[in-house]
Amino acid sequence: MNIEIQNLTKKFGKKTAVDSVSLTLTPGVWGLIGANGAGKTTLMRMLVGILTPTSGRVLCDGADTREMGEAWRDMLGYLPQSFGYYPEFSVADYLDYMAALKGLEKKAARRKIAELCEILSLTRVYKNKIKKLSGGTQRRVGIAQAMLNDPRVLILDEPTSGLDPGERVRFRNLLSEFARGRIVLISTHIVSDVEYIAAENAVMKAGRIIDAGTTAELLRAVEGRVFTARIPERELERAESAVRVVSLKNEGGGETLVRYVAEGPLLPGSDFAEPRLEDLYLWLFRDERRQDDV
Amino acid sequence: MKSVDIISTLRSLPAPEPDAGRMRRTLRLCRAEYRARRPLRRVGAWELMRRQLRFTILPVWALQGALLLFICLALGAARPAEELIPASASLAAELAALTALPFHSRARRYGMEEVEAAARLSRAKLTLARLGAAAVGDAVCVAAAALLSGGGWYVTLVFVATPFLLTTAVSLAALSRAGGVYSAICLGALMALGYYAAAASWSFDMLRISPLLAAGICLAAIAAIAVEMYAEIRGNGMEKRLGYEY
Repeated sequence: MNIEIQNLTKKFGKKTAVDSVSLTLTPGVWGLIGANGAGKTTLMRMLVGILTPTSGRVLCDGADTREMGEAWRDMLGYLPQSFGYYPEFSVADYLDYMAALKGLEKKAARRKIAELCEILSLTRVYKNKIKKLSGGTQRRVGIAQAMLNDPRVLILDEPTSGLDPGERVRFRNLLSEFARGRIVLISTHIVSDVEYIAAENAVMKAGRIIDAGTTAELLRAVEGRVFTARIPERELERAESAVRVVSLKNEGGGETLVRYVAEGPLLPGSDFAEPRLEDLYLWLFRDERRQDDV
Repeated sequence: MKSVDIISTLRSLPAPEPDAGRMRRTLRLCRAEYRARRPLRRVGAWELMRRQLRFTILPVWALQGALLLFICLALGAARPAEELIPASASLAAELAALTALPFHSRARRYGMEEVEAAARLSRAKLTLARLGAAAVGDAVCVAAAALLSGGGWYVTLVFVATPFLLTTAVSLAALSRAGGVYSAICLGALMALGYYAAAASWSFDMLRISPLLAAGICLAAIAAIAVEMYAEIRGNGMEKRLGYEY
């Protein structure tokens, strides 16, 4: 099975949110990486049919998903970036409600809900009101609803936001297993989440896909551009203004280990470092200023 | 070469005989693909309504049931003072128009719109099921108000149908344009009080309104309601609600 995105475009007046995106998604986990406003959410909304594209189309095994209608939505599982719920709903109510909307037969729905609650550690909070749960637990409820109908295509927009590290690891493992023979598309800012499990990634910037491929293929763009350097703490401020810092680690003894991306070694005593997706992200979006830089 | 000559030439060319073995293999592959497809279980309107009952329909019916009780009590209490019956009937009809408002556009208010729109059952089917259920409750309440008012068809038209339809049209328009359910309810409630006051003070004068005019007002209100319902079913304005600006 594959999903072919052909020249998908979405314009809002003069603003182009998604600009002629073409991509073929094959079974496995796909990471969709990009800064805020890159167009990831808009692209995902067009894939699931919430937004109508200005032009272009999405094909599932050659069939236009708009013409497939219910059959396409039956194959989908979707978790939006902002997860809402009716205030009177408990976890059980919410999942029952979503199962009904997904056309699941009642007995099958109950079995699936029990299975997902076990996998996502929701059994203890099953009868609790969602509004009383922590953000991370609410997110897990959202993930559960996305997987209720055993989707062949799972689209998750920032699924791990609010999850603690242990939950993120469990979630990654769950997705890796789930993705066998299915397509899972995850958009995230937490690049390490896709680094470990995504077979392929697509990088979005200003509404366009600027690069796509396996992690190894993408990392060629930053090969030889990632460095580490141990610098005195008093040099830190100057270093931060001179290079794009990926991470800082206080080494004690008045020294800090700086990991940075640059065309060449700009700090004294720099060593080459093995590139990671986070380095690629900062390299590709190095022109976008952080809020605290302004 | 003319098209007709090309066509006749092509038709005269010998076509290869289909390979029986390949045909059988193709059929086998097609059947395997067909069996492996994900079957789409049919979900009928009745099942949809039944599954939605607990979550979205029963709360509306509960409120409408409470209103029905109020209608029976209020109109029963108004019986000794016959001049108050038309005004009470109009108030009951207008309250019936407001009962479904708190449940209208809940998905929007609580951020469920996206996830519901991506679910298998289309937004249109879901909205129709909910609107249909609310309409059933409204019809029962309005019918009760009409029957208990004890008047003829013209009294029903002026003091039950017209206020009900006008309040529904105005409050739905307020909901979609002013955005807030509370502003829609307030506007509807003001209309209800205004019509009640007019009916209480001028019920005989109101009965002199031309039936054509009253029917015309009702039809205009029905048209306005139909426009709002259509927009609701189509999900118009979704892009704006998701934060996109043109």
